[in-house]
Formats: sequence, structure tokens, C-alpha cells
Amino acid sequence: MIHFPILIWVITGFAALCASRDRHQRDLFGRPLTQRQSHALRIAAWISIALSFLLAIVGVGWVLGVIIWIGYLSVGALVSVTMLNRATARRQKRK
Amino acid sequence: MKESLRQSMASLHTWTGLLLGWLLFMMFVSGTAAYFQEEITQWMQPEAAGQASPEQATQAAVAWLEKEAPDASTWFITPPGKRSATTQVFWVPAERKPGMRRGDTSAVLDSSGKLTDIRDTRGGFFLYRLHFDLHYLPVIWARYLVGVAAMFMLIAILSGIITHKKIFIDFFLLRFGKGQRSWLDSHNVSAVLALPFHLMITYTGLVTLATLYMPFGIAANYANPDKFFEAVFPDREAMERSGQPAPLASIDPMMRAASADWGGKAVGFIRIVNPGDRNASVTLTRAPSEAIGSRGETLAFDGATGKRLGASSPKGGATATESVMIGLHSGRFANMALRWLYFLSGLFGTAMVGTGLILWTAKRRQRLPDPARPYLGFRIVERLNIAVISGFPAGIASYFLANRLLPLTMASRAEWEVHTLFLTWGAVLLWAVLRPARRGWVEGLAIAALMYAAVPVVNAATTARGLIPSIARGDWLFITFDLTMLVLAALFAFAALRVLRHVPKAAGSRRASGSAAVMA
Repeated sequence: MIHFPILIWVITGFAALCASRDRHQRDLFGRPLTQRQSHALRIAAWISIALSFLLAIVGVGWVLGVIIWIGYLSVGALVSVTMLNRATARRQKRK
Repeated sequence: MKESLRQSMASLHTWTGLLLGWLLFMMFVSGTAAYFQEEITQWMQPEAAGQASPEQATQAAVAWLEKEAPDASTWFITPPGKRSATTQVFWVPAERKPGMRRGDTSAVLDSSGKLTDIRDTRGGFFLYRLHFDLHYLPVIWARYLVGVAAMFMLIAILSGIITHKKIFIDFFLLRFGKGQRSWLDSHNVSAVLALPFHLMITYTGLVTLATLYMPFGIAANYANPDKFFEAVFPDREAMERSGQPAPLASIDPMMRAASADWGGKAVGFIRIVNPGDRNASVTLTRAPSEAIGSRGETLAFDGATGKRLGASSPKGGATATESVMIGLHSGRFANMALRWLYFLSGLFGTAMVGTGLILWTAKRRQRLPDPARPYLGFRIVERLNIAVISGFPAGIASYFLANRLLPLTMASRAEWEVHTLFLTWGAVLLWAVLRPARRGWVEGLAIAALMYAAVPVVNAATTARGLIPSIARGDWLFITFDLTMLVLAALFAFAALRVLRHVPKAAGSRRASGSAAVMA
């Protein structure tokens, strides 16, 4: 099953992208990260997403791989949105 | 024009989205369900089970047709594929008698070519046709209406992208309990996260019926539109019946030859012209599950001798593009993983349209001069939202329930399954009009939840293929179907509870409570 690693890397990518945003860091970590950390997260995010694309192309093939990859992008982004939403709700409850 | 581009796009987005939004919601729901139309059909025909070899089933179907419809001018056979257990046959009688109905010239056969005692149902196919043919309406009107809705959808998506101020900055943002802001977040998230899908599905949806919506190119170049279709989709010209009987050659070797020709891709459709005659011909079409292009390659054989006549010529650029776009829209090529992704993306689309419709009222509710007595337009939108967002899904659940509960011997049974869907939908509409809006929401959503929860229960009570026996047998299709019904029931119940527990802001504290959480 090549699908599992593709999904894992998409989720990782979006999670890192989400964490690299200043406005979400307080909700996720309780404090803003340094510029350098944010930058590193952003690079890691794009590498993960590129890796997932590569896996889809190599593992599934050019045509079908792209279609499936786009589908997994939505899933991966949804996972990040849900995680951020939960983290924010938890933080607000603590306040 | 004093308005900025963004402002004018915002009003364009609001009104194109609203006007046919309810139709679009119905199209998204039925279209999403139709990605599993074959699985739904299998569930709605619980008598049919097991797998069959397509070659054997076809040969058996031919034997059945030779007995039942020997003088038909054409036979059509859809052998069982990866996602179906039965063989479907359809024939064109030599002469058409008035008052003939669908059931008189079609049949569902099992793998040994026997007429199945499968209940009369239109199965998942009905949901697929509902998606673009609607119902109780001349098909051509329906398709124009659906086309206008799809064009509005395309406008709404493009204007929505321009209107959305922070499409990247707000990408991950979904905040609950903030009233109108939460609806906007949900609308944005469901739209942006699956944006490639939304654009693709709307555009390719228009392409599927492009020659209907834009006949001008054909009209300008062909005196008779039929000539265009003959030129673009050439078919072996039908030979006249010779009148000399000749037995039909075996189909099995033809299917193997075709499959070998197409690099192992299976045959999905067989057309036999002039069966039983010396001038019989057999045309095989590649199965739609085997490649993206929806217009499959064909290979023709002489029906009497079994000799190969010739293959379809390769498509030109435009036809190939059209074929792939339609294929991409309907997703028949998709394997199970991709099928679920299609389904999920369809749910995103459904959520986008649904939250958009609710957002219209959420935005205006705060500004109502008298919240107890909203103006007529507001009331219409509010009631239609309840009726469509909770009523149509409830209708689909009742369609499944009717499949299990209507007497098996009932006349026009399949039609009554469909009527049940619309009767339920109509009942929820009536309910939504008669009840106060908030109660209407709670009750409408609760009805939908109860109906979906009832599906696995009724299935277990009326068939031997309930959830527990299916688990014991490892019958994944039935397990997944029942679980999906339960998940949908839980979603509707959750939504109903949220509305029930929702404490509306007091009119006076409207301005003061910018950050106060509304929902517990």
C-alpha cells in the first residue's frame, strides 16, 4: 500500500505548514516560535509535500498519481485544520 | 462604478450562490452518492451475491436472449464487473409496440444466465440519474436547469476566490462557537481545502453536456446534428438483416481477443446487432473502470463467423480531451482508495454549498429589524435551507428504507421507492414551513438522523445480510454500507444537538460580545 506513506507525508507537510504560521503558534505551542524555527518548519513542510508528490508519481504512476495526490491534499489539510481547531478550543477552555 | 472589484465580486458570489444553491446542494449530495452507485445497487439487490466470470456470464446471457428475444434487432449486454454481481441485458425489439416499458425489454441475470428474483429497484443508478436528469421533469428541461446551476456554480467559485481576502493566511482557520464567523470559516475551509476538486467537477460537469448547452459549433458546420455524432463517434454502419439464419459465434474468444488488444483491459459492454442472422455483428467496448477516458475503445467482430472486423480509430485531440474530462468527472476508473477520495471531496462540496446557504441567513439575522418577524425573502431562504439540507438526505435514507420495506410483489415497486424519497422530502419541507425555524432545524436534522440509523436495523430485520452476519461472512460491501449509514446518522444527530444546545445571543448584547463563545 503506497497510499499510507503518501497520506502520512501530506499530513506531516500540512501540519508543519500550519505550525510555521505565527498566528497559530500560540494556540499550538503556547508561545510564538523564533523566526528561525518558523522558517525551518516552512522548509520542512514543503519538503514533505514534495516528497508525498514524488511517492504518488513513483508509486501510482503519472496520471493516476496526480489525481490521487490532489485527493490526499484535501484529506491532509483537513487533518491539520481539525488539529488546530481542537488545540485552539483546548486553549480557550484553559483561559 | 464606485464599487471595488472585490465588493462587486462579493455580491456576484452571494447571489449566484444563493439563487440555485438548493439545486446545487441536491446535485452535490446525489452526485457524491453516485460515486458508489454500483455498490448501492448491490446493497439494494440483497438477493444477488457472489462473483462471476464476465465471459461465462456473457455467454449465459446470450443463451438467455436467444430464448427470450430471438428476433430483437439489437442486444446490449453489460457483464458483471469488479463492482457488480449481475449481468444486465437490454434489447431493442424488432418492432416497438405502444405502451412498452423499461422492464419489458430489459432484465437482470445471474452469472448462470438465469433470471434473478431480484427485487424491482433502480438502485444506485437512480441517484446517478437524479444528479443531472432530476425527476418528474422532462429530461431536456432538467439538463438545461442543471447546466444553468453548474454555470452559476462556476461563477460562484471564481468570484468566491476573488472575494476571499485571505485565502492563504486563513487557510487553516476554523473557529467554532463564534456565530456568523464560524459559518464563514466552515464555508471557506470546505471550499478552499478541496478547491481543485470543486473547479474540476464543475467545469467537467459542464463538459459532459457541452454539446447540449453549446450546439452552435455543430449547427454551423453540420446541416444535421446526427451527422456530427456519426463523424465523431463512428460506428460500424448497421448491416441489414439478410434473412438467412446463422448461429451466433462464441463471444468468449472475442472478449479475450479484445482484452488482449487493449493491454489486458476488460470488456465492459457488448452490443450485438442482428443476432441470429448471417449479418450479425458484435461490438465490444472497453470497461469504464479500466482507463480514465469515458469513451472506451471498441472492437468489432462478425457475429456469424467470429472474424475480427476492426477497431475504433484513435481519437482526435478534442474528443480525447472530452472523453478524459467526462471520465474524470464520473470517476468510473477509480479504484477503491480513489473512490473514497472522490466521495470525500463530494462531501466537501456538499458542505461548501450547505454552509454557504446557511451563511446567507447567519449574516442577515443580526441585522433583522425585528428578529421575531423576518421579511419574506429571509423566511423563504431559511425554510428552504431546512427543507433541503435536512430533507433531501432524509429522503435518500427513506429511499433505502423503502427498498427493504415495500412489498416485493408490489406493482411499479421501483417507482414507489423513488416516490418515497420525494414524499419524505416533501414532508420535511412541510414540517419546516409549519414549525418555528429553530425547532424546524432540530427536528429536520433529527428526522434525518433517525432515518439513517434505521437503515441498518431494517436491513438486519428484513434480510439475512444484516451487520453481524455480514461481519461473520466478511462481506465488506454490506459492512461498509451499514457503517456509513450509522456515521451519517451520528453526523445528523450531532448537528441536531448543536442547534438544540445553541444559545442565541440576546438582542441587546449583540455588539458587546465580540469574543464571547455562543455555543457551549
